[in-house]
Formats: sequence, C-alpha cells, structure tokens
Amino acid sequence: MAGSALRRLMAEYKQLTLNPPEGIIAGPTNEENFFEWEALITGPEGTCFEGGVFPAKLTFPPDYPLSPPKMQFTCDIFHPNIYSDGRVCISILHAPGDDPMGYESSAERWSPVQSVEKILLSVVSMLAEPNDESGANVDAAKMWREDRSEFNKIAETLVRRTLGIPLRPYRAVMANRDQS
Amino acid sequence: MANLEAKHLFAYNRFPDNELKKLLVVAYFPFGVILLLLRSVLALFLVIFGQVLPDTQVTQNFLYNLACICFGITVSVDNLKQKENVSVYIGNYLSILDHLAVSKALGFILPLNKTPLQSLPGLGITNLGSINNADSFKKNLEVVLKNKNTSVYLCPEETPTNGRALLKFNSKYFEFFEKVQPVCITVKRPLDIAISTIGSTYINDVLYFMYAPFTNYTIKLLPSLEKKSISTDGFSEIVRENIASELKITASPLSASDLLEWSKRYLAEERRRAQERTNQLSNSFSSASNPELVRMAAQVKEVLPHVPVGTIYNDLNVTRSIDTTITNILEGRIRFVPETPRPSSPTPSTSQQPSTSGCTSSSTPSRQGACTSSTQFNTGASTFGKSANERTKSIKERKEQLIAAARRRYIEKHNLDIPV
Repeated sequence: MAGSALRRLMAEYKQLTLNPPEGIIAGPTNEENFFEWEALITGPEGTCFEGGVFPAKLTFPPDYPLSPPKMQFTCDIFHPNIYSDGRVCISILHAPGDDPMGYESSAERWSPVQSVEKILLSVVSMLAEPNDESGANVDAAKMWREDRSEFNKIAETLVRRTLGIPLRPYRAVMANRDQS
Repeated sequence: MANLEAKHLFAYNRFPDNELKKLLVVAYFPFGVILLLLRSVLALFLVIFGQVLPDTQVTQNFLYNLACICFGITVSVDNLKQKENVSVYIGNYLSILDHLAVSKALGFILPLNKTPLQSLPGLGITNLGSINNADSFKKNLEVVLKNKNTSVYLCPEETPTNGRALLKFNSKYFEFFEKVQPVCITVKRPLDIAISTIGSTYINDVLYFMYAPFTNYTIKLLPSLEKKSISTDGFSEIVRENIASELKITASPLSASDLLEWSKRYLAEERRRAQERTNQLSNSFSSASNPELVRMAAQVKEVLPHVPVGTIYNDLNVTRSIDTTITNILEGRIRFVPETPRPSSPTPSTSQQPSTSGCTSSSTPSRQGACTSSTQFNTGASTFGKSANERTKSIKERKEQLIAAARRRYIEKHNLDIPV
C-alpha cells in the first residue's frame, strides 16, 4: 500500500517540480518522510490575498491516493474556510460521504484521480472566493459578509507578514482613523 | 516477360486502378445492376430448362445460346475455316466459361475441365472423372466420343490465369489423344472488369459475367498437330509452345499446382492481415466503448493534459490502473508527442498566455489572474534531481526565490520605502 502511495507521491512531486502551476511550490519537507509535504501558495491577483506567499503543510495518509491528504496553513491566516489553527476545509480534501458541512457536491470530492496540484489550485480558488456558507472560521465568514474592508485590512496584514514586510506603523493607521 | 512469377498470373482487383476507368465503372454501376437482374431471370430459365429438357442436339444448341446471352458472352472467330474435324481441341485457360465460347464458335463440344454448368444435365456435359484415374477416364472418354459424336475441349493448364503466360500442361491428357487442334483464346471485357480474381469463387465470377456489359472471346484456330511417334510429354510441350507463340506469351515453367499453392499462401496471408486489422479495430473499439477505460483515460488526461488520449488508452489497456499509467508517463516509459506542450518554466513569453495546464477544471477568474502574473512566479525547476539532496536543495532555493520575488513585487506595487 505504502509502496504505491510513495510511487504516486514521487510522480506528483516530479510533475510539480517540473511543471508547477504558477506561484505554487510543493514537495516533501524532508525526503526521509515522503508523507509530509510543504507547499507555498501565492495569493491570487486581484484579491485581498494578492501577493502573499502562504506556507502550508500537507500530510498524506499511508493509503494515499485512496484517502485524501490533510492540509494546514502554517502561517496566520484569516479566511472563512480555514480553521483558526490553519486546517483547510475544502471539498476536494474530503472523501465522498465524509461531509462535515453537508453542503458539498460529490463531484468536487477527493478521489484518487485528484492530485496535490488540484488541491493547491482549489485552495488558490478558495482564497480568491471564500465560501461563506462553510463555517470553518465563523468570525471570518461573518466579517467577509458584513465588513469586507476590515476583512481586507486583516488580509493585507497577513500578506505582509508572509513576505516579511513590516506592518504599516500602527500610529499612522490610528491617525487615519482619527481624521475620518 | 521472361520471369513471370506466380503472382503475376492473377488479377487482384475486379476493377481497374486507372482513375478515369474507375469513374466509368462507377457510372456503369446502375446499368450493371439492371443487366444483372435481367440476366438473373434468364439464368433462372437456364437452370430450369437445363434440368428438365432432354439432352439432345437441338436443346443443347438452344441452351448454349441461352447461356451465352445469359452470361453476356460474345464470340468472334478469326479463322473458322481452319476448323478441322478432330476429336480434341486444346486451348489456353482464361475463364470458367471458356468452353461456352468455344462451343458457340465450333458447335457443341464437351468440356473436360470443371465448369459451373456441369450440374445442368440438359447441356450434356458429362463428368469423365479424374485424369488421375486413367483407366476409367479413358473408358469414359471413349464412350462419350463414340456415343455422342462430339469433340472434347480441354484446357490442360487446369487452372485459369490472367492470360499473361501459359502454364505447364498436364501431359497425362495427351496420352489419350493422337491428333489435337490447338485453340488460342483471348478475352476482353469493356471497363476492364477482371474475369476472375485471386481466390474468387465460381459464383462470384459468374455474377460478374452477368454484371459486365459483355465478355468478348476471340478464338483463333491453329493447324492441328499429330502425336505420331513423339512422347506424350513432348507432344504436350509442342502443343503448348504452339499456343504460346501464337498468343505471344511465355510458356511458363509454373504448373497449376504452383499457382494454387501460391494463391493459397497469398489468401492465407491476406486473411491473417485482415484478422489483425479487425483485431486492432475491435481492440480500439472495445477500449473506446469500454466506459471504465474511457473514464480512466479522461482522468489521466486531466492530470496530464499534454499527453494524447490515444497514448493514455493504450497504456491503460495494459495497466488498467490510472496510477500506474500516470507514473509510466511521468517517468518517461512511454513515448508520445505532446499535444499542446506546456510552456517551459523560464521563458518570459509564457507569461502573457493563459496557462495551458494549470487552469483547467478549477480555473476561476482569479486563478486566471494568477496564471498570467509575472514570470517571477514561475516556480518550476528545469530538472528533477536524481538524489533526495539535490531535490531538497532545489525546492528550498525555489521557495526562497518565490518569496523574494513576491516581496519585491509587493514593495514595487505599493511603492513602499523599504529596501528590496
């Protein structure tokens, strides 16, 4: 079982190394354990996460690709479909029948023909278009619905943090608020 | 001309290769069908009469004429006056109905070779038995010649050819004949429809006799030859050379059995090839119609869009596993021509094109945006390292580059006063 999982992961690693979707890097953190991957995902252009490079951890089960991997962001992230601890809640990561939220169509579910690449692309889509019906992060979902500008501000903070760019001086922000 | 092989003595296609003639053949088709139908009615009468009419001179004449009309046989004789009163005529073998033409020209003669008309008693064709059973053959022959007062017509080649050479005669026949008259036959059909093709059956050939506008036999009589003191083999060879030189064709060293052997082999080979073709067809058909395989191929195709579906099918046919096929393709065990090659990573020109691969099923406008972003976001490596160390090093470097590039872009975009 693990043999075929390894073979498959190696093939996907090769594919992602040679022909990755733009702005995405993924591969085993340490090849001694091929079931733990690290991925970098660039926030899609034209969204509040634009320009950010978000690191995430992928954990593959021994029976991969029969079962889906788990994905968890290792940076701070504030998003309706990502738990506050960074775990990603997205339909492609759930096997059919395993539907914690009860709203996913089985077409977008995990199956052995999905791949790491597809998961990562789905996550990029998710960053661009949160599904605010999913309550992975209720606060984020609420803010996304009701106070988009605040959400964007938080997102920008997060983006800067991933890039190692200092936040705007806190004072400047406060000054702006006072003026308005 | 000297070295005609067995393969040159057959026609392979019923219809000519020539473009113009092909067109004529197509144009002729409706007429051919009508003729065939009309002649079929006649053939029906021929069969009925042939079964019920008594075997007399008058009815034979009538039936032969009917048969000639029915099969569209016309005959022209170059030199009827040369006809001598011999009991045996020897001719070259061109078609299964040669004897009909000769009978029409020379009056009723009994064909010694096999003919489709043998089964009609009204035509008076008697089977003399096999030449290999010489005693009974001789007896039958004597009976026929004496009682019926007819001549016999023999094609000692024993199998029809396309007329380009004269096969070796079966000399056994010549044991029984003292004096023979050689007959040279040439046959012509408009539209160049072949009389017989390799492996064709009696029925097949007869149907084409009825389909063709007409089949014209030209018969030329040669002076009769006597055996005298020549050996049987020598006599048969002399007759053969006479006919061959008159027809200006080679006297081939091949015999009927050589030709049959060759045609058998040719047909077996053809069958094998046809079988292979249908196998291939049914293979591709069954895989194309195997929904499971189609589904699997589609899934592989999604993962590897640049691989032709045909290649995927073929491998899936063997592996029956999406996984193994993907691995096979990725590890280069399968050769294929990429359909729409993915842009290789470090070329700047790719940045303006929508990505061919990444933005497939899950593409959203935003994803499209990401795809068309600057080349700095191309994160691929040119090679996949052979060792774990190499790979780890490569991915680490690429990660750093990606972050650095993203940072630079961000700073440029927001005009931040921070050192890049």
